[in-house]
Amino acid sequence: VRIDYAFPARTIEMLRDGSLAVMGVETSGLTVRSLPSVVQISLVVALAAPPTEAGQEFELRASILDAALDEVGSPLSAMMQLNPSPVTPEGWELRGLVPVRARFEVRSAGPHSAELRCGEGRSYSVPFFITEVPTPAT
Amino acid sequence: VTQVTDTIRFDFIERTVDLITATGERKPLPGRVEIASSPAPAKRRSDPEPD
Repeated sequence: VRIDYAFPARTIEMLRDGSLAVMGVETSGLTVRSLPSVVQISLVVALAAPPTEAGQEFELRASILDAALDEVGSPLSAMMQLNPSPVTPEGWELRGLVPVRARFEVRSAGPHSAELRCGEGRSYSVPFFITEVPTPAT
Repeated sequence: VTQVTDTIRFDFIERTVDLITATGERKPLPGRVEIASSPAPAKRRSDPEPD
């Protein structure tokens, strides 16, 4: 299983047919009033796998890197399984969309990234930017 | 397209991974999250009702 693509979004809503309603595609800028702050980002993660990997368990691992490429906490992971549906033609690649949120503490402004990885595959990097905009004095 | 009905939340502060439902409810992550590679065909208004 590999990560085909991933992007940040403002809101992601699951619809009844299993598809996603996404608003604010590529919303990659987060504004905080002060540092440190707790923030949450939403990501659409698209998985793909050859049909031979149907039903095999794999690990989706996530970590956050700050501007110095230091990890914000250690990685977290979830066990997953990509299954064919009754309407997937035989021999076709398996594809799945997963809505993901990450909540973490920001200690510095500047470029950050969410690093995603399936099993021992390549890491997929989703960049985003933290900007500190203090509340104006009244 | 996924048939996961919840969002996977990686919480790097509490060091937990859980599921968030459409109503915002937080559920513990099952041992394994199963994803279907495409949705079941949507039922159309013109589809006949099953007997």
